[in-house]
Amino acid sequence: MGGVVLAFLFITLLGRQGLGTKLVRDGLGFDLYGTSWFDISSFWGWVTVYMYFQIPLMVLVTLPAIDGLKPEWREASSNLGGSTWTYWRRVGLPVLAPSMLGGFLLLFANAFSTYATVHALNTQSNVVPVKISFGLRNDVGGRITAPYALATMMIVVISVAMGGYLLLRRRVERWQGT
Amino acid sequence: MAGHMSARPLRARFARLGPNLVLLLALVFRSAPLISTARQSLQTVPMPLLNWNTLFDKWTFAGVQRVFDEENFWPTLRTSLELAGATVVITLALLVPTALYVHLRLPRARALVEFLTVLPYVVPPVALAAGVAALNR
Repeated sequence: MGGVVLAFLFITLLGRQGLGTKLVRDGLGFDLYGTSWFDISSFWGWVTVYMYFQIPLMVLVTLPAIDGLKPEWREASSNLGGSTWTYWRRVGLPVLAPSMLGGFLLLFANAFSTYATVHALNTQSNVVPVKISFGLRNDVGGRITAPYALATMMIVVISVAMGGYLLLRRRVERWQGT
Repeated sequence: MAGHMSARPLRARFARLGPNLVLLLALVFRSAPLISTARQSLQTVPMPLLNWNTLFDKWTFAGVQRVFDEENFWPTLRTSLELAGATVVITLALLVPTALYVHLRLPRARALVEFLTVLPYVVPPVALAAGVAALNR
């Protein structure tokens, strides 16, 4: 789930008149919008909404790797006198590291390029995709270059992130049998 | 030593506490927006009047029923279903042979194919639109 629907889900929950906002204010006396930092249409609101689609993506990317941790490795580590800490530091985390790093890069690229969700939360959002779309809409005569420059820079950033992701996937395959 | 022995069952009792708390938090985070949206469609209490006292008032299916009476509801639903169905059929027809071929004949290309499959998710649609707009200008 993503895009406009997701934005609407969170506006009904954490918007200024949202169910969660009102029930927390009424029941606990805590006004979410009394704090200066939270607003569904500004930074920490966007973070909350992005988490909703980022967490499942990270689970999808890292779960196969966690499933791939063989119980035998842990037993072998114990037999050689290793503690739980030793197992995770010397075996578990090194095996998981490429998947996790790859997941970070994928999630970074995903969040960086998100457009519909953040645009639905706030049409004036100061994020790159919204600025590109805003620039394109105002580019009537084809004379403005800023949105095209922004788009090109974005593709460079995404390419670096995804190039890293590709390299890390190669390393992941090594530990997942087959 | 005795202290260590007595501390053990206590520790065992709270061993699942952390994971369970995380699970509970995840459950609330995943379901709360869905519940609040369902409330929005099933309850007719205006937002400014909403609080714990009015939370259980005026729940009704009237709002949902009105959707079905909407003039364009069925054609819209039909178009969406056709769109979903057509994409699934075409994707399956293309993907199953490709996945089989790559798996059997080109196992070394698997990382590359996987990279290509996630590409549309991360190449910003807005950047693609900018590219198309650049072609048209």
